[in-house]
Amino acid sequence: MFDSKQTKLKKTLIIAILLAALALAGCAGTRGWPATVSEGGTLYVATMDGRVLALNPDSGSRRWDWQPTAKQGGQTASFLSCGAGGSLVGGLLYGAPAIANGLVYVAFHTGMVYAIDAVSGTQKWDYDLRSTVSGGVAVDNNTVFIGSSNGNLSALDAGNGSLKWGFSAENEVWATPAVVDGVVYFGSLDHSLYALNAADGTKKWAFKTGGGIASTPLVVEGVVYVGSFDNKFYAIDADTGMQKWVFEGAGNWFWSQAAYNNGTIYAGCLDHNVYAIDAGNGTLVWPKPFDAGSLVKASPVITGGMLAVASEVGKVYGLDLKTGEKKWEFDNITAKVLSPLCAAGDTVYINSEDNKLYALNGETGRQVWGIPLTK
Amino acid sequence: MAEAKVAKPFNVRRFLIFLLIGVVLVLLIAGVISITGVWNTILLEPILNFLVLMSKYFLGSFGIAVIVLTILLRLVMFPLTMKQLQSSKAMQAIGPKMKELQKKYAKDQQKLNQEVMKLYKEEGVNPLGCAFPMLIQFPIWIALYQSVIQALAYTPENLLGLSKQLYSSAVIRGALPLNHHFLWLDLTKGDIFMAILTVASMWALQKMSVQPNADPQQQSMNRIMLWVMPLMFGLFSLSLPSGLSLYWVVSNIISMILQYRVTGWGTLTMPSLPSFLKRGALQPVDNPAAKTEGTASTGKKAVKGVAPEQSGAKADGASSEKKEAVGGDVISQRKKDSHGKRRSKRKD
Repeated sequence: MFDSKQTKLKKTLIIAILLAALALAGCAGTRGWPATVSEGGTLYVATMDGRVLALNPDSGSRRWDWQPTAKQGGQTASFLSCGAGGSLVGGLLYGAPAIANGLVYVAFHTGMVYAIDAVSGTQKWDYDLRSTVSGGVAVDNNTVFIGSSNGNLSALDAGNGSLKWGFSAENEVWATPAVVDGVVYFGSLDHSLYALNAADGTKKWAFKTGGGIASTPLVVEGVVYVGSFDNKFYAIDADTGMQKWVFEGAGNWFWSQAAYNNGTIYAGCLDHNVYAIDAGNGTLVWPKPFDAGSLVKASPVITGGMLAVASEVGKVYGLDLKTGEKKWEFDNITAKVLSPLCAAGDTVYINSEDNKLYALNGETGRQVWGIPLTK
Repeated sequence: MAEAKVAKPFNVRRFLIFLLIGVVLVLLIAGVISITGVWNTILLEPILNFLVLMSKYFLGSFGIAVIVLTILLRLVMFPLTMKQLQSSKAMQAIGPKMKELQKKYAKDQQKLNQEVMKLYKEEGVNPLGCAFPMLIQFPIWIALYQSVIQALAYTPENLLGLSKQLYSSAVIRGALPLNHHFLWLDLTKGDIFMAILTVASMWALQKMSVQPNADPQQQSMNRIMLWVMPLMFGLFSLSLPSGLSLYWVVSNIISMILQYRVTGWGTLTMPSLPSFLKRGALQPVDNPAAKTEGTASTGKKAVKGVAPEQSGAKADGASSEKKEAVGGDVISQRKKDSHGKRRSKRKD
């Protein structure tokens, strides 16, 4: 009936532990969504534990394995914060590395940007953006483009990492930029899609949507396709920034880059659906959208004559491009899949949240190999 | 002959509550709904969406939205909070009697339990009176806490999680991401000033809640409690988003106002600076003699020259004489002394 002193002390400790757990619960689950890119017969893979690997695409064997040698500046995590990958040497990674001029460019969530030799895996230069990065990098014409949480899009010299120019949006830039024909396109959480001259960062135009834009724009034949947090998907003239059409039939945000094939746009949506939209007029192509069962954050890709789509819960589907009919399903992944998919030849590569990389045959959905990416 | 049975009146409200609980339990067991789903639908999503909506309409400021929502929820739960505080006060009022019983029946646990139950009955105190309102409020605090964290969405994963909880209203979805700047604060980052405010408000609240005790061990426990919790939350405030610290500070201030209404300043005193420096900041906080002095100088109970626990006992119908007769412990004796001294001073 009555508490002894020891019981009271125990109670106090239990309450303290519960409160600590409660306080820390808010930052649980922040792990990044690193992705893979294929270039010149090599896979360059960003991992959940903050490293970059070069792999043989046929077997998954490692050519080199790189991680920052020590914390070299950047936005460090405080001791209670798990939001910036506090335990990792380099921090978390969002998006895929970019390859150009024999170098691999990668930006960590801490704001550190690195250039690594694509053959040897040795670091060439680094640059501190002094703000967190929640997207990938784009490279074009000897310039590296990265968006950051302070609202800046920074253009770095690809050869030595020096800052060429910077452009300030009105809110955070989480989306990976896209660079086509000397113009860099990127979305911001300030609801706008920007088009800048890649050479000097001057604004060509800005297109305002009803919500934040966190997905990478897709630029095809003079049209920019991008989805927004206003549940709409837009087609915008790349030259003028004028809207060509808008698709309004979705029930949640668009947060992944769309894929294009033969006049059709394929867009994954957080409402669990994959939409096939006519690139010319914005009408639906399939009889009904494909329901993936959980949210589609990973960008879909076209491989082996199929549309490969991954849902959040780790199920991967091969869909008929014309009808949206499910041709195959791969359900051996037991972790979340949020990273953009990567297609090379007839193979689709999938980074899962348990730090594994799967290679599937795009035509059949059969697993070619699956390897852990841990050290 | 058979006695006429007195039929209990049919309580419709109680019946409906039990029916609702029963239906939810059956659905949970049948797997039709999940605990997470119920939690999200009933608590988290309404609070979260309301918070986002208010951010949109209160100058686009998430900080104002947190303050307004905290106040609104405290208003909704006002009756429960008051019930809890009053039960807690009543329990504290019978503390000396309880202590006497503990001493008297230290070797007979069964008898002690019986006597305690008897005491509860005599004094009209429900031992669950403090716990039940607190238990009901606790899920709401957790949901509010989760809402603040999720609405701030300071990492991409947070925002992705948020997309699952938002209603499909274009107004709500269009409001994101929220403006996380408020006054000097970036609400997504820890802030030293908010950490200090959190520690200070939580410490003051603890001081108001803690009751004086002559037992050195209990004093030591109280001292630990007085500092451990505020410092722990201060540490969190340095590292976690200051939007949460804002919620803690506002919530603590409201709790202090309510606590003051029920028990007065408690052991929270405002000593003059010289005496504070002379005594040292970390002196035992619940030295009854020192406390009575402090209360007399600043507390609202000081007008009558009565220590808080005595006034509480009086409010519950137990006279100070009765308390001394049952308790007869050091506290009562010291209180008696201090009264005598004060009275003589007044006479002078």
